[in-house]
Amino acid sequence: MRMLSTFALAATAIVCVSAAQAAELKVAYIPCGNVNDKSWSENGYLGLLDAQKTLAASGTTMKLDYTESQPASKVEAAARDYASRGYDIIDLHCGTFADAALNVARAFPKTKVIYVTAPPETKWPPNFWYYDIAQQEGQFAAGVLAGLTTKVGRVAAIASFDFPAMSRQVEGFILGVRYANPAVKYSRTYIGTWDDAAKAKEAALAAVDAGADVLLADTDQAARGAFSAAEANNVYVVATYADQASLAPKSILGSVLYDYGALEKQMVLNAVAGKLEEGKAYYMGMADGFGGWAPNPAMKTVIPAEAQAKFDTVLADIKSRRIKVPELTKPGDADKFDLSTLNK
Amino acid sequence: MIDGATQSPAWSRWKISVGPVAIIVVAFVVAGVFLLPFGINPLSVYGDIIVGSFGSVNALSETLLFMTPILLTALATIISFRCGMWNVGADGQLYLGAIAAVGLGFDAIGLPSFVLLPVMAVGAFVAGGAWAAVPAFLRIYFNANEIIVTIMMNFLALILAAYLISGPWASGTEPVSSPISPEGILPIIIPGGRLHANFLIALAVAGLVAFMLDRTVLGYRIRVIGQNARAARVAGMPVERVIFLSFVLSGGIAGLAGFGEIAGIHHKLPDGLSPGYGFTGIAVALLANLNPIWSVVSALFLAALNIGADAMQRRVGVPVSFVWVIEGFILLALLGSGALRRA
Amino acid sequence: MTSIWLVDLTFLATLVAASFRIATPILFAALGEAVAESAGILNVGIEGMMAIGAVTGFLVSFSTGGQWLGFAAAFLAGGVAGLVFGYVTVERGADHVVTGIVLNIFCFGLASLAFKGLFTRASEVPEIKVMPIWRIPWLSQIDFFGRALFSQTPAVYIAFGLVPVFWFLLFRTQWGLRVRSTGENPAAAESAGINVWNIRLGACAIGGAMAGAAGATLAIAQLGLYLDNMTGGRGFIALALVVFGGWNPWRIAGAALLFGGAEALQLRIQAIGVAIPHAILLAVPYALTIVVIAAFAGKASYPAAMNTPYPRRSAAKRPIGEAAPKKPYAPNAQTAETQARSTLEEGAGS
Repeated sequence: MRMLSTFALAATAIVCVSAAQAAELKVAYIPCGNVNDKSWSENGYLGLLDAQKTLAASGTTMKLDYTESQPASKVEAAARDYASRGYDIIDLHCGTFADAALNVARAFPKTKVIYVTAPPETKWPPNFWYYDIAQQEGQFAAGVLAGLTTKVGRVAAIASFDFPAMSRQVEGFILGVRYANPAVKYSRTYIGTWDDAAKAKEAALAAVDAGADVLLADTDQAARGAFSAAEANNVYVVATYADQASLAPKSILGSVLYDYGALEKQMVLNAVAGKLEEGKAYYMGMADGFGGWAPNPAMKTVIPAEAQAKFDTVLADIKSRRIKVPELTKPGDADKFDLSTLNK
Repeated sequence: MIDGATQSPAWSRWKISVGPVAIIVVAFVVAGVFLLPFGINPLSVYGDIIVGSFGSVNALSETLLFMTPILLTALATIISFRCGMWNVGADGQLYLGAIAAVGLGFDAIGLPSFVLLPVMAVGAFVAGGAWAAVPAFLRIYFNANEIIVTIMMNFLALILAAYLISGPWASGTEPVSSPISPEGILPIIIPGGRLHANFLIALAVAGLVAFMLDRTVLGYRIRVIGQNARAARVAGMPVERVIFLSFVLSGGIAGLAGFGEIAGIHHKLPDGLSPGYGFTGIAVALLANLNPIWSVVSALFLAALNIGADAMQRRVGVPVSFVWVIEGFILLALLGSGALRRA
Repeated sequence: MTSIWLVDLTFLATLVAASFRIATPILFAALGEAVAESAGILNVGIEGMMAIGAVTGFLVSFSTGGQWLGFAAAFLAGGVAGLVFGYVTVERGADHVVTGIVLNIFCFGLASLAFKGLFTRASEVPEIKVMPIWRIPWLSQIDFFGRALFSQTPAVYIAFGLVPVFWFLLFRTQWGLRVRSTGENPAAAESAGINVWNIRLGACAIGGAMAGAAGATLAIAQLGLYLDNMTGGRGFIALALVVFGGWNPWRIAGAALLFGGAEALQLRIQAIGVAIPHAILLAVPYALTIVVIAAFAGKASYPAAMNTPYPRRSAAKRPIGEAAPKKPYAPNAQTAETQARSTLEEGAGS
């Protein structure tokens, strides 16, 4: 009798577990770097964790797995592995993974593939969507702040690579600087790496030696080297991707946020609900509620009041679409851009 | 295991020993011991590695896919190592082959597939061979150490590829070149996976290399020069010519690996094309005791280890660095066992 | 603008200072590698050993609060990694290049795993205080040179201070002679009574230790943090510089400064607002190395027996002084190197 009831209990448990597993949503996340890098990769991960919480509140269990720090050549194998094991949604959160994303979407029509930034091809399969944020908007506002905060009239932008998704950020920043004060001098330095913090530090020091007192650090993990240089030389720096004020409280003016995580959360929730429209590009900007600025509270006394006011106005204008910041993808595009076309 | 002092006959040095297999087993066991403090069951890890490399059509196709370039670079290494030339530039020669394949693959003239693909393959072979000709030339005429030259050429190849991707061949969005013509795509041979025809080409090349080394005059000369160049010269062999040829053949085969990556997988030139295929190929070659037929087996093994370990990482949820530690440890154990000795 | 920066002394001073800063970690690694290669060890695993040094240095500094302790720990950890390399290559006869690459993978993984394992709850971002700049009293007050040369972190002074030390050790001591003989012709060295294996193991340890110091320079002296891949290819640059500098510590230091200077210059040019093509600059160290090695291959400083396994210790346990048997060393002990060289020379002569 005991045996029978134990058996029945076990059988029920197995049935329940497999039923639960059948209802379980499996999501895979493949970023460029580490999920705890306080920068680009962590941003997306936090968004997905958020989606997990939201889904749990409504009764759906979401299993979230990730594979970090993969070189582009191994990503497709990873994504295929997830897809072939029945993962429902695969999120490739790195601008260099386009081919892997498209190929996996084509090979596994039942898997929903979402990918960050626009892929080079224009035709994509019905189970593929890309999401992107108008990064140049946040950088524009930051450029305005930088242009008005600099006391010596020189700023420097330090970025990793000059491919389009990165250049649009730098050019947006420079547009903002020009918009705020055409007399401010600026420079662009590309260091060619995401992780070499010592190189970023040297680039920052070179900029300081050239006279700049406000820097833009758009170099993912390596930015910490730039922060180190800024703190040692009492100059200010604009951070990117995440609120990094705690990393260098005396130097960081604030952080440009893109809210990719929030967008990814929406994408996942919409994917689950079947609300993603086929062929639609989910390119969002501040006017749609994505993107912002994380101020450094310690800077309240440092930033001149007029600068802060102008910055707030610009931010509001972008949000209300009164200013449309263009996506300039080549280094140098911002130099000759006609600023009068910015205001609608 | 191998006693270096006794004068052993040449052939026994190339004999396959059972050693490697035993070493691998021991290494896995030791690695497993390290897993225990993390609360991970090593047996399930091994199971995951095997399942991840062979347990499904997708897994098997990925394993054979990874095996293709490392088999070719291993064959490239074998040819030059057997000639006594330490060509460690297979990675760079692979890149040059890939670059040529992409350049030809843009198909400016509009050739059909059955013409374009062979053209790309030949072009890749020539490009890889040409890249290897430089260290060969420098070695023969200047006695420049080919190890260092080929290592430097690897970096130069990388830089060249990066320049082409961000410059003349840029696609306009991400660090990848524009795509090649669809006529330049190798057919997939296992439906449902990514395995392409270059796998078969690689197997064929293995056979060809074995044939060449064992049964042709060139192969004979290569082997003799590798053993004792002085004696070869005394016997009247054109030593410099054979050395040069072995280098060029070596580079050409590595170039074919690059062709396969482009025509079979990427169809464009991506940044970071090779995760060290050239160096893995050297390990494959050494593990196979520089025997081309055995290198098929060792290539399969190393590919399975690589793909399986990655798949295991995804299933168990350990950090990726964990996989590097395990792979590195196993390879170090193999190296340390003397199973990968060159002589 | 152009004429100003050509003449501006402040600019020049900061450029020189930056050159020294950038050169320092590479110089550490290159000095160690020069010793290793002089003994016939080609260690391409420098990158991995640098990573080990960086993570060890950071972790020890972080937990003990002592920067010098961290530096020392990194030095030791690098030495251990070097000995692992030495065991596999010298004792077991494995190919140097493959072992180096494998060690790179292993060390990167170990470093990343160690760091991640200890800081998984990464709400706090671990940081340590960077080494302070030591302004050498009186010397740093000198207008130009003070800024350029004498206001650096101690790591810079140590690295450049070691250059004459390494030169002296390699070229003016008995030990250095043994090292170089081992690298030139291990068979002859052994018959001269040199313990080839101990020399090579020692060279591996030194190479690894200096690579560890290089990593510690990045983590402790320059940045105060650890990141995966923070070494950024410096190990391979060091490899090129050793050859480019002809295995001579002075020339290596010069090469390192040249490299540091080029890097500092290109960053400053970008910071002024001038864009320059990146690719050519990247290629220069490697291309130059090829040129140098082709031009100077015949010279005496070139260690002919590099990356050639030497018959293992157990194979030759003979009392020192007894002549080594003549036959068993050909062909695998007489390296393809010296063979081919002699045959090519013969061919040229005939």
